[in-house]
Amino acid sequence: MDSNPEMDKKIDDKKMASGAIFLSFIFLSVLPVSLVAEDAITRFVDRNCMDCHDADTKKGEFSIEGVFDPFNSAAQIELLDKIVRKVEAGEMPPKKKPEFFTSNETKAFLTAGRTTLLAHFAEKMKTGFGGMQRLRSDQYVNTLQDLFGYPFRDIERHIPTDSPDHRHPGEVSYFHLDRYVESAETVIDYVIGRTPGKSQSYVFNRGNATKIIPRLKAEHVQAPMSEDKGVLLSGSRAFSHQQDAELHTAPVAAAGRYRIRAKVYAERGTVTFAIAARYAEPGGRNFGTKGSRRLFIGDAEPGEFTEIDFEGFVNQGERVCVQKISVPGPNSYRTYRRFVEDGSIEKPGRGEVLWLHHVEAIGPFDEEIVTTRNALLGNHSPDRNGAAKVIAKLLPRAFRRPATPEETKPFLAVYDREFAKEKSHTAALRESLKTVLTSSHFLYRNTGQGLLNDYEIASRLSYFFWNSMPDAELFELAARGELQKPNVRAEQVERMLADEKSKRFIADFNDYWLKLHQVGHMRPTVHIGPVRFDSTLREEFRDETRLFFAEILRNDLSVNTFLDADWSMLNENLAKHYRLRDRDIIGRQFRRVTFKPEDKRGGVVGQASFLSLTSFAAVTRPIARGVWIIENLMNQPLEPPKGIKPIETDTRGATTILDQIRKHRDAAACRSCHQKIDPYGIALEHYGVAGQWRPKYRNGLPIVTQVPEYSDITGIEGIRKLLLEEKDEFRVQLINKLKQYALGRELTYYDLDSSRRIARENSDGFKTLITAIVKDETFLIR
Amino acid sequence: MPHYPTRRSFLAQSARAGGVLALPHFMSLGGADAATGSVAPRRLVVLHNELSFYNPAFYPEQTGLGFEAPRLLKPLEKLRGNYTVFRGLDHPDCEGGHTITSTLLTGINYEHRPNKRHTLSIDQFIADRVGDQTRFDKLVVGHAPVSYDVNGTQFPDRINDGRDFYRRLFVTDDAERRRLSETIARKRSILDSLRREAKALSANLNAGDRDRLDHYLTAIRTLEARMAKQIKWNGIAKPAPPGDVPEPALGAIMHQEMRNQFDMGLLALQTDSTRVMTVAFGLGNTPKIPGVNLKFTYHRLSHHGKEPEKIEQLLSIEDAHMKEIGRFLENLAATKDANGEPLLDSTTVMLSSGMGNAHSHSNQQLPVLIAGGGFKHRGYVDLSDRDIPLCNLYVNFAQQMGLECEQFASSNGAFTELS
Repeated sequence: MDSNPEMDKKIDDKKMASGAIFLSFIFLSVLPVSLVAEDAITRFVDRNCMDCHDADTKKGEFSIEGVFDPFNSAAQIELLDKIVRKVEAGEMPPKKKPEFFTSNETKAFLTAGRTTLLAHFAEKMKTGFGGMQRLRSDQYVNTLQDLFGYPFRDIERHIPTDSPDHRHPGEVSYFHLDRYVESAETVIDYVIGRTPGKSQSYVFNRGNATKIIPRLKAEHVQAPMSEDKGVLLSGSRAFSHQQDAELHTAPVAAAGRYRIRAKVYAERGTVTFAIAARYAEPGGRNFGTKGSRRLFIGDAEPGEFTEIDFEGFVNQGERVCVQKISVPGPNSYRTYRRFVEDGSIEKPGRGEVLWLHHVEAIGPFDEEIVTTRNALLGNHSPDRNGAAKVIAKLLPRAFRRPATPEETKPFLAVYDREFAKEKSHTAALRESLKTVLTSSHFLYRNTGQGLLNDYEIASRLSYFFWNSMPDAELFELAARGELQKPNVRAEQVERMLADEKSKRFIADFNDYWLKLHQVGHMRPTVHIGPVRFDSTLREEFRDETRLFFAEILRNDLSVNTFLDADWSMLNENLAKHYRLRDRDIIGRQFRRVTFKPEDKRGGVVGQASFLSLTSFAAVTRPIARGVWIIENLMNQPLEPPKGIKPIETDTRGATTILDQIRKHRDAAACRSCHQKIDPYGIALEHYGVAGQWRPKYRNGLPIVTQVPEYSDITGIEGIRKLLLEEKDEFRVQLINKLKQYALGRELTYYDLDSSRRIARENSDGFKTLITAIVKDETFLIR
Repeated sequence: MPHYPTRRSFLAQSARAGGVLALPHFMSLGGADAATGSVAPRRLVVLHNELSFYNPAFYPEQTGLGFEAPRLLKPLEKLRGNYTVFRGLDHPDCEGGHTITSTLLTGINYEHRPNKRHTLSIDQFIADRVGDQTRFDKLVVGHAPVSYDVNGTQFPDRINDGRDFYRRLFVTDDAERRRLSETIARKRSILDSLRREAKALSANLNAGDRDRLDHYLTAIRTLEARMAKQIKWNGIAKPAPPGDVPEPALGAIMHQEMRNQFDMGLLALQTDSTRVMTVAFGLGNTPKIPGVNLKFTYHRLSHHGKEPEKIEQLLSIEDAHMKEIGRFLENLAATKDANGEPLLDSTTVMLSSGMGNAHSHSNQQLPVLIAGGGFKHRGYVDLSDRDIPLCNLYVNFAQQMGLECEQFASSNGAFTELS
């Protein structure tokens, strides 16, 4: 996009008013002060760093010798940035060598370093640090959904996934492009290619069970004892590769809204079951969890049939599944029969049983697609002019900015070429629209230069809070130039967070910040208490943290609440898992629950999500917990260890994890980090692999929650107290994480500086801080 | 600072080699018989076990060819002299447990890179250069991510099981073929429009963004070249399975499945359907071992806590792995290539794992077994005190394929242990 001189000028004027930055910028570029700064920097480095970081000693594989002489390259700025951050954090020069560390000199260095960096970045700000960005896989799917107002969920599994860990996706490969072309075909064919209204029925029952699921043997469905109850849902892996027992229909041929009816029969106790839609890969293996979506969850009471009837969206190729969850049972039909035959089924511990009489999906009922189609095509004439109109209407929304008449030409050329070949208006229009959806303008954002223009600001806001394209209101504000005004942006934050789509922000940001997507990667294989670990509990772990996050956000509570809340968002399952007694928490609904001190919960560090994602299947990982706390809650990056053997746990005899860690840590190279990490992790040893409270280890040994040689932190209270002492750093860290998420680029010293300013100048309300980030001028830097 | 091939240098290399990426007329550099123009095919097979091998049972006590076979090498006794076991090779700066096993073939710790993106893996590096000569550039079997392209995108097309493998190699579905030509024709037309349209964008971009757009344009060109190749092979009938091998049944579990996959892999090489194959195992279901009542899952057994009973159970699984691997290697040795030479002699097989010790999650001192490939084999070579990057060996792989390659990823010199 062309840069806008008008707008550039406006920003410059605004910067003039904003004072400090502008001053330092002028100051340094006009006067030869940079030479003075350079002097202070080289002097400090020569005197304090060379003892260890000269070319010969190269401590930590890091040599600084000669790199600032002369001082001019971008690489040096990067290096200076790193050194300033280390010195600011008090990590360098090392405290044990005070002779290299006089505070006046450090102060002078920091002043000079900071000014140099800020001046450099103030200059750089004009062109921006980041560049155009490919839409991440989730953004791509969301954008297509919002563009057409239709849930094209099945696209998600066809395109390569970008991990939530990085916000900036990598370059596009040929197979991305291949899938983009295919997805565009799916979407466009779906919107204008098919006739809705033909509905079909997909049934699973005893009569067709073995046909639909070849793994089911005849004996599973034909035994007399199951005659009137249906097919046994058992946990054997022969039925499914998932942990939950599951039976399913054949895949549906067309996406859309389906009426789903099922009838189940529970025995021996209440059974929780779910109805989900799930893809099956060709060949019948590898049911992808990625494609599994729960549509319904409920309880079946024993001794009677439970019938359900509801509507849900099913994608093309998905099967409608009935899953038995949260209770054990005989793991195969054969076992069940043996239990019945020898009478042992009545023994305690044999588990509850669920029979599926039938499940049926009828559909699609799909009036929505007609709306989508009308919105896209409108009342256009079926000729070249009509096609031009449709394209001209779609382009600005697909590109998320106005499109020039010139820009519609290539797409119209596709129309012409196809029309010449096929002689069909619809076929030609379809090809043309597919090209729009694979265009680089659609797949990339931030394609302009300099400070963000109005429409890019709209996109930055919408991809921040909705992980998708801007809506009509944002477009309009951009068109009027309103989004340049910090207060208008602030109003939008309020509006966008109130929108349903902000759930995407809450889910995605939590994956990015707290690594929630890792919950359940290691499924506990040991007893974790009254509630079994299954996919429902795993989701509830995540939901707790997300809802906790949402509650803080929506009510603008202090961000310190993440550290020291005495409440959380719980439902019956979690309350049981946390062993909360005497509280009336019934049902699946989440609600705010206040903890008592004896509950030993509160804050993110007491939540099962964090505690389980930092555990192995059978043992906790105190070091991983410590690292997680330091990296995500405190503003302290840790360097990964180099050339050191990881712990080889010896579970023979009675060695405790603390003894193991101690042995490992005794190497001097390890100590400097581990004296930071270990106390946090060890303090949480009372929380087991799923975050459940455990009074002692499984082998009977008592739990120690303190590393006395390094710290007096003990238990969760100790951690919370210590985290609160660091709350200022936490606030800055959180702001940085939010910025990284929103800006999708590495943060520079300039951004970090502004984070500190934002933290200083605002109250600590979560929404207040987010609003401040959006109002801040760094939000407009590319 | 580790050096890895950037896309630019990679393209430049391809260009020097006389073509862009996998265009059909591209010839690999070495190994060609100048007189006849025929190429003696050379191949690479990588076997990756996510959960590594129990070290004390994998490494012999004595170095050289005359070692007494440790438990896990016993199934390979007939092949002695045809393989070398290395101890002490690994990737510098790669530590981080299961997530880092994905660097086995890239040699670069992606977590320490600016965008946390993976780099090109050696199997893809080779497939990019020899893949045009066979129906499949490369075949990836099993679910463990080790294969990445220059942009760090994971190789998307994995073979699930033996049956899937069989169908890809031998089954021709005419309807499918027609559909494919239609699809490709449509896609090509879209790509054509995209290229024209992207030109308009490039005029307004700064250098960094032009580079990014360049990736997009390269993706278009690569996809076009691949489609041209697909069209070409779509017109050529697939070979018949040598010796009337039946289609494997579905639902086999671990070792039967491994056997099916290895059998199909052998046929893939024998029929010259591909020259690069990457097989990953060790994830997923816990196997059934005859006569052993496994008390824990395979993964849990790999965290044996030094408990003898668990180690014994773990070894019973690893024994079965090695039995299948030994059988595969023996089959390679017994099968003749087009020139009447044993297939194994022109096929480099690497058995390794991204973890050196699955119990401690260490990614150092990876178990490495190299078989065949026409190398001079040394039995057991202990390099633990030499600090040699595994990528040095990867350079050898590329050279053994007849490719020009001096450096790959974290390699820092020539690997002389196999010559």
